[in-house]
Amino acid sequence: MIFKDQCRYAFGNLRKTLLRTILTAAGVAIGIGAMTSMVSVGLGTQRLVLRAFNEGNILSSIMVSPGESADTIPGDSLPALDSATTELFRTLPGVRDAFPRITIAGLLRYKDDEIFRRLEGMPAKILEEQIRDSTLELIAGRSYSEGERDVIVMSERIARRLAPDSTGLDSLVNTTVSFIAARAPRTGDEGDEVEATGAQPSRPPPQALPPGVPTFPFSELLDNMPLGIFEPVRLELTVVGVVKGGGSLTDFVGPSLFVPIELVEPLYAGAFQDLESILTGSTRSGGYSMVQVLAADVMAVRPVQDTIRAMGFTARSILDEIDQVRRGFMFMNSLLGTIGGVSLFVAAMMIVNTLVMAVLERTPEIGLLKSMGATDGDVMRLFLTEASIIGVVGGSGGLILGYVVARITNVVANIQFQRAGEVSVNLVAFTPFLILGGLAFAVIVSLLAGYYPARRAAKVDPVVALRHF
Amino acid sequence: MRAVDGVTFEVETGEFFGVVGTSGSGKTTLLNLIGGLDTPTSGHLEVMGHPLDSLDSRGLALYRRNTVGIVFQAFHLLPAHSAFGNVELPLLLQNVPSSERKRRVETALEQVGLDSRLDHRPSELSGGEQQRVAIARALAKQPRLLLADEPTGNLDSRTSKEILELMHRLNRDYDLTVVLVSHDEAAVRAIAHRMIRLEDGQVVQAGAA
Repeated sequence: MIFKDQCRYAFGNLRKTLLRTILTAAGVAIGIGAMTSMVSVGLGTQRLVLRAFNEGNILSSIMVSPGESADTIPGDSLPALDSATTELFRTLPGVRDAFPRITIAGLLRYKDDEIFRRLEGMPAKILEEQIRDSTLELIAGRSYSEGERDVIVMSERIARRLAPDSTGLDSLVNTTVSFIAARAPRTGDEGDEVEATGAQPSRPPPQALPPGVPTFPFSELLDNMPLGIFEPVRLELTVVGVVKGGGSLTDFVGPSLFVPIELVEPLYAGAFQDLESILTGSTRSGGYSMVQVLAADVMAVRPVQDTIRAMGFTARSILDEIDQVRRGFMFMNSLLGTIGGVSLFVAAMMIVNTLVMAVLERTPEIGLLKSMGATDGDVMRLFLTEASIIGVVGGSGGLILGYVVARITNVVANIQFQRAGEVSVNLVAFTPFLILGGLAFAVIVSLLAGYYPARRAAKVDPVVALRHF
Repeated sequence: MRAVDGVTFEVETGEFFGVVGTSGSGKTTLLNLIGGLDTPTSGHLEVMGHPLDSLDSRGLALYRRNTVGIVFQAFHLLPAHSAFGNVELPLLLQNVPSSERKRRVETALEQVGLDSRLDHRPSELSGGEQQRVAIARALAKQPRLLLADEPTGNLDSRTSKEILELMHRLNRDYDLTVVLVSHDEAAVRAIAHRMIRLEDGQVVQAGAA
């Protein structure tokens, strides 16, 4: 029997037991729907995270810190991670840029509001680059330029806190905010070092913290610190822009205050890094804690990383982590798929049941077909065709069902995100691979489920079967 | 127990051959063997050059598909299919193209006088008409040998006579070889060229009808 006639005949047989066929196909649809909806949400989440990794310079970044490296020769002193080394990194083959990652903890003050935050030194061209490639989205004002110093670009979250809804973010642009950092009291040597690394004469000299700052706990904490433990440094900064992370990782974990690196670099040595360092009195001295090296492209990351490690530094890149992330997602998708697979297993049992019933009911018909010349293979193909039609119909229905369920999941999740003040994201990835894979899986499962009944039908003895007419 | 034992006979091409006997005499078993539905446990069976005793399952299926047409006592029509659909079935197995299939089905139904009942389902046809559809189904595949197992067993005497006349006409007009199995010796004797009588699986009488 040619394939077209076989399909027509199989359709005709399935139509004869329409309700049973619909219920069986519905079972397959639920199984495939459960599986595809779960996997699509898993894939969507994976895509979201991996896209966040891919944005901006994350994939091509190598974070270099002093620390010990396996490549250093025992007994050698560890090299310093300073401006000279940073300059050396810039000259390495495959390196596009290198700059120190300098963050300074302190109190951001605007009118009556104050927030404890970290100030991140960011070269103007890198900030502009991130805005250009959409890692950061400029939503008010502008980025700062090379040569500008006492300026700040802040994240949308901080900006919204400082400028309530009624005034709008634009009202914040060109206003002045204060940032009060804490650093250890300067000795003569350290003072020289600060001057030597480029404290700017144009910038107002560090000022003592004004008395009577009302807000608890930060100001009070600063007020009550034992004299001599720290020296406050006050920066007056003009807000030039507001950015948001565009739903990427930077929106969740990235720095929220950017200033020109030239502004914070002189303050770095001897500055407190965070609240803990203030409380413990530990300050940074000599060299940077971290330098970010940007490789020319992703392919150059590994060689550059190896070169820097050979120089005695610790060099880490996202590539070290991304394989683990991928493995994690593969596990998660497998788990979600397995849960859906259980539903499909139940559906497979329904197919077996439906077709075994069909074989029993249609034994005389099978006998008649055989008496007219149907081979065992013809009969088997006929039942397998019926099984695959159930698979295609159920699988198609399952894909529609899975898509709808995944979309509903996405809507519900985004409602929760919005309530929590987070950005909306698309958690659903209904990829062509998932669609074709889901359909193919439905057909394969149906064929496997149909194999036993089909084989049973093929083995029917025509003489015995014809007696049942 | 042997259902058929030591039965030897030859049928000429274009001959109308009758097999008669009482119930349990082995008539249907003999027809199943000739039709390739069953295989002998011993002995030799050759039909139109096909050594049926040595063919495997697939070989027998192909023999049934291309060489013989079988008409059963209980018609064996599929109730959900129309007359056209029932007659079309063996042609689907033969992979006959759709246009040729349509022509052959219509011709076969015309030969049995049912060209106006193409779309009727078996439940909408009388017993005689149902048997005519079954004969048309056997004819449509253009067999070299038509086997009929008690084709009038479920019919009244008038309809039985019509069916036997139809088979006789097909044999005469189309030179179709027919083997008719029946318990009605008089009816067989009236239309068959030669016949054998079976008793307990053995031939007890053979000769001209």
